[in-house]
Parts: sequence; structure tokens; C-alpha cells
Amino acid sequence: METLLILLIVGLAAWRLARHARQRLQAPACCGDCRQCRQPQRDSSP
Amino acid sequence: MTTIALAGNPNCGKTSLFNVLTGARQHVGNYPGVTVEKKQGLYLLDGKKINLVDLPGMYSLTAYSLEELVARNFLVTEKPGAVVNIVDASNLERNLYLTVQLMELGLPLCLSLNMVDVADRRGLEINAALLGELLNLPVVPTVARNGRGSRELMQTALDMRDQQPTREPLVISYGADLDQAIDRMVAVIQDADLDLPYPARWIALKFLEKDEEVRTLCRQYDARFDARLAAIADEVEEHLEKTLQLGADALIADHRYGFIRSLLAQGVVTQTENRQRYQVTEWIDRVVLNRLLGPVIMIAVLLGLYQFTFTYSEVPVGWCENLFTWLGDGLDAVLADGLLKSLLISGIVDGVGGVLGFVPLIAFMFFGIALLEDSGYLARVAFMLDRLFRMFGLHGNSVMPFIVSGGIAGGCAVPGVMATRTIKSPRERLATLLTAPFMNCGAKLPVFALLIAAFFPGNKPLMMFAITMVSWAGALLVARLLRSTVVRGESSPFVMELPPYRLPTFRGLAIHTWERTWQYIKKAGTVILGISILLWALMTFPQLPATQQAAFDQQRRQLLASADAATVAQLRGEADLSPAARQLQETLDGVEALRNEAALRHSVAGRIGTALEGATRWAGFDWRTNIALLGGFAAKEVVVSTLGTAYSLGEVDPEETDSLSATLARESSWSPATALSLIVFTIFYAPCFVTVVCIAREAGSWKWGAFSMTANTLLAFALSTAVYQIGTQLLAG
Repeated sequence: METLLILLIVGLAAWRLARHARQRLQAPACCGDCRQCRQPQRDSSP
Repeated sequence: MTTIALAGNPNCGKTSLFNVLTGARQHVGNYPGVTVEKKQGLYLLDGKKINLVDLPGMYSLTAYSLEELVARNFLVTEKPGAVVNIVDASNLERNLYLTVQLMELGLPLCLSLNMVDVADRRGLEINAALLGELLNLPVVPTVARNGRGSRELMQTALDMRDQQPTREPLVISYGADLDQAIDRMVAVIQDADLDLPYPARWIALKFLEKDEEVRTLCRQYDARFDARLAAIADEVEEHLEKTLQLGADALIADHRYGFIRSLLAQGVVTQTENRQRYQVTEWIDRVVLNRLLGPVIMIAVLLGLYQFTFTYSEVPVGWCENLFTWLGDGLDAVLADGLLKSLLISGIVDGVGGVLGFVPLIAFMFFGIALLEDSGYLARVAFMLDRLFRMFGLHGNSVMPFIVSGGIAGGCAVPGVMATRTIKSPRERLATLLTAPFMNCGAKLPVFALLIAAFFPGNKPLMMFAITMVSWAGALLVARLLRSTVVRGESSPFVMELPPYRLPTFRGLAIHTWERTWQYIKKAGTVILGISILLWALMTFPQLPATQQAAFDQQRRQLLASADAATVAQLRGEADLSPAARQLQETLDGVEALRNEAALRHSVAGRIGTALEGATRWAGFDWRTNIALLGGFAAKEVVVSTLGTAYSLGEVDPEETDSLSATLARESSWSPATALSLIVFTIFYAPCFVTVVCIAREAGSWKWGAFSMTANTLLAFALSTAVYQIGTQLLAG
């Protein structure tokens, strides 16, 4: 029973991570959802 | 016949210039359907006829007045061969506001720097050549009243029409919130594939500026398309109102003026008579951007930030540690020994808890950074670093990707890598892409915080400052190396924005801090939790073979059997142990430690860590650190969570849980030299998986993603080995 539960948790974690990795690889060029570092005033050149 | 339009602010001398150029050969009518005057005239240049159109005076290209609307429509629909923008040299800042918008529209533009005589009398010396270079536009000084420079101006406009009939629209950043909204709106506009007369980005901007004409135009094209744009515009408007108490249009104007001010600050305007009263921003900038004082203030601000973070977060970090210790103890008490207990305590509580324990520190750091960012000081830091960057072959636009990646601490390399898009030169961009991940992102922070707390508790802010300096020095030196070898090439010119200073609101700071801190917590609760569980499995399976387990059990039984019954009974009781019982307990603990170590080494992760130990011991890393560093490739916080799990699995008695930093400080295999070596390795080694994907995508080739991984790891290994070897020698001495 315990082994089954462990297998389930580890499997779930692996599936979640694989999905995350796939999303990252397929994401459009800008990650968009990462607001950890809001960009301050970016510079620009004419 | 070529048509040249004259555009400018009211009272900039535009009509005077028009009169000088056309003389009597002009005709006045009305624009169709409106009462606005349309003035046209003929100008002859070496026999070539030019149709000159004097547009109504305007301050902007937003349809705030009929004149502005008429002028804008003429420029877009009639498509003149060239546009001459007349600017009042004595009031450059305000006049260039229109110039920026004309450039954003991508019009073939040349600048008439008019009324230079008035500017001269006011004690202003304008460097027209520099202005032209910075704006990438032809600039001709003129005095409309007497016609000085007018022929040269027309010749320049004609040459430009022939040589450069189309222009890339100017792209200015309007800050994170607006930029994201603009990008989303541009995507909607491009998806709709409508035949709109304006560039997509320009439509997005006008939408955000609440330009009724553009909104009506969009509605006419497609109501659903208009609704999608309006939804994005409303969303960002609401966010800006909440955080900055500003509307999008005001923020856009702020950034345009910021762009202009920074441009003028580069020596375009020289004050020959110091009689003007400086505005607050200019006054502060005089001190803050001073060549000598500026860097001193910058260092003081950084040290202050770290001091603030470490001082005020110490107590709440302690609370978090106690919380997770209590949670671990609670689980230990209620769960029976076995795999599930090990997973919950060693894998999840000690793994994820190690990362979540630093939430207060991260929150304080983010609060400090939000304060610097919202006040406008961060842009000044970038401005000062620009000079330094050029010395190392990087572009001025490289500063922001570095800061976004964690230049001050607590950033993220993913948006940092994205921010390199503002760099037009592919070589400078590549050099920035490859070096920005050396900055100290938010994920590296808990690693540093852990090691600093364990080995340098007396010098926390100073150590953090030193780490920042090391990462900058490393990044700049590597950039120099790259620019001299694999990405050699010329440097390109650069203009930088200096937004006005603003007093941050507590609400705005709180929202910014919370957004980033929540991101950290969310990541710890999802990705880091998943990785921790997987790494726990890799550190637990395969389990020790039964024969080895039996050997340890046998050893334990023998020890217990050889002791007298009274001593053994003491071990089971609650009372104080006698010296003999204590010695027996220590011996039994030793056997248990050996069993745990053998089990960990026997696991998949343990075998990999042990296999690498032959090389990594030169840098002071044992097999457990190797596992943590391998896990760090998924996300850098994992270094902390894996060390937490590895040392937790190795613990003899889970009831004696201590914070990870205390455990590391106690470990005989760790020393300050090991900690320094690990800090250096963490700064420089392969970026996390997501960053590598972004680098590959942004550089257009997986080759650069692979280069970043291997070259960074090799560099990190070489540096950390040097640090460890020198550090060990010094400590021994």
C-alpha cells in the first residue's frame, strides 16, 4: 500500500514536471507568465 | 513632384520657414470636411519642384484636437516623400515630444533645429551633430526668420527621400506593464490581419492613449477585434491605476519625456549660463549621476539594500525555520517509520521547506528592489553602468538585461534574456545573452543566503555585496573575451531612457513585492516540490540490498548484546544517560550514520554524485553537493532543497532536526573554503533549463544553448577549484 502511494506521488511529480518542461519548450518566445522580475524602464536606441 | 510636409509645435517657426521657402508661391485652402487651413506652396531647388505642405501646429499625434487629427491623417494617407519636423531649439525637450511620435510612426523624417539664435541668447548651446547621431536623423540648424539653413534643409530632405524612403518605426520601452500589454495588442492586431493604415505597435499605443479616432477605426474594422484590444487596454489601465495611480496615457508621456531627457543629458544641450532653475529630477541627477559621487552612492545604495534585507529578515527567517522544524517533528511523531515518512520529512519538508524558509528574505529583497525601481533610481544605475559596459564590448542596452537577470539580486534570467531584444547588433546581443545568466537571480539567492548564514554570519551584507561584484566582474570579463573571440565586431551607438523620479506609493511597492514573492512561493510549491520528490526518489532507490541491511542490523544487535541490560534499558527510557549508556548510544548512532550513508550512496543519485566526486573534490564538492548541483540545472533553488534532503536522509535521528545552515556549519567536510567555492560555482555554472531554452531560441540556434551550458560549467569549475584550493591553503596557513 505504502509503496503504491509512493509510486503514485513520484509518478505525479514526474508527470507534472514533464508537463511543465513541455510547456516551457512550446511557449512563445516571451515567457509572459514570469513576473518575478518586472522589468524596470528598459532602454532603447533609435 | 515631391511633396514635403512641414510639421511642428505651434510657435516653433514653422510658418515663418514655410513663408521663406515658398514666398508668394503658396495657396491656402481647407482640409476636406473641416475648417482647418491647408497651406501648400512651391519651392524650387536647382530646378526641381517641391510641393511644400505646412501642416497645422501640433503637440502630439494623438487626436486631442482637430489640427492634430488633420495633420496625422495627412501624414498617413498622403504619404509625403519626406517630413521636415521643425523644432524650437530653445525649447527642445517639449518639441522633441512630437519628433519621437513621428519616429514611432516610421515616417521619413529630418529635423530642422530652428531658432538656434534664440537658444543661443538664452545661453543654450545645442550640438546638432550629436542630436542627429543619437536620433539617427539628419538634423539641420536653421533660423527661419532670415532663411539661414533653409536651402540646406530642403536639400537634406530631398536626399533623404532618395536614400532612405522608408524608416523602421522607433521602438521605445514604456515599462514592464505597458510593454507586455503592447506586445499582446500587437499580436492581436497582427493576427487579425486587417489592412490598417498604421503600424501595429502605433495602433496599440494610440489605443492605450485613448485615441478616439483609432478606437473608432478599429471598431469599424471588426467589433470583436476592437473588444479584444479594449480588454487588454482596460486591464493594464486598471493595474496602473492600482499600482502607480497613473493612467496609461500619462505613463506613456512620462516615458517619452524620459527618453528625450536622457538623450539631451548626453551632451546635446550645454548650459552656457547657469541661470536656470533645475527641476527636482535634474537636481537629483546632478548628484546621483555625478562621475565621482554617482558610483559611491550606487555602492552605498547596494550595501544599504543588502543590510536592510539581511537585518530585517533574520527574525522572520528564524520563524519559518522553526515552523518547518515543528512540521517535521510533528510528522515524525505521528507517522510510522517507512518510505512515506522519509518522503514527507526528508523529501518534502526538508527539501521544499529549505526553499520556503527564505521567503521573508526574498520578500525584503524584492521590497528594496521595488523601491529602487519605482523611484526611478534603477534606471540611473543602468545609466552609470553604461560607460563601464562599453569598455567591455557590450552595448548600453545590455545593462537592463543584466539588471533584470538579477544584477542587483533577485531577478530572473528568462526575462533578462528576453530583454536583450532591445539590442539591435546581433553580436552585442549574443554576448549579452551568454553573460546575463551570470547575474544573481532570485533562485540563486537562497543558495547564497544558506551558505552565508552557515559560514559568514558576521558579514552577511558585505558577503552579498562581494557576490554581486564577483558576478558582475565575471560577466563583464567573459563578455570582453567573447567580444574579442567568438562574437567579434563593432560597437553600435545607444540612447538610454531616464524616467523622472517618482515618490513610490506603499501600495505600489506592496503589490510589486507581493507579485514577485508569490511567484517564488508558487515555484517552490509546484516545480521545486516536484523536483524535490523526484530527487528524493533518486536518492532513495534502489535501496540497500538485504544482505547489507542485515549486516548493519547484525552489527547493531551485537553492540546491544555486548552491553549490560541496565545500560540498554537506559536507552529506552526518558532519564539522563549514564556515561556508559551515552557511549553505547554514540556507537549505535555511528552504525546508523554508516547505514544511511551507504543507502544514499547506493541510490541512483548517490552513484552519480559519487562518480563525479573524483573530479569535483578538486573544487571541494562531495558527492552530496554534486547531486544538489545536478538538481540545480532544473532550477537553482533545488541546490538548497537537495542539500536539505541529502543531509536529512543522512541524519541519524530525524527528531534532532536542525536548520540546514546549522547542519552544514557542523559538517566536518564543509569549511568556509567549500562554501566560497560553491558560491562561485553557483554564480557561473550552467543556467537553469528554462534559461537555456530561451538562450537557444533567442540566439536562433541550440548551439548557443549548448555553448552556454558547457562553457559556463567549465568556467565555473575552473574558478571554484581555484577558490577552493587557495582558500584551503589560506585556512591551513
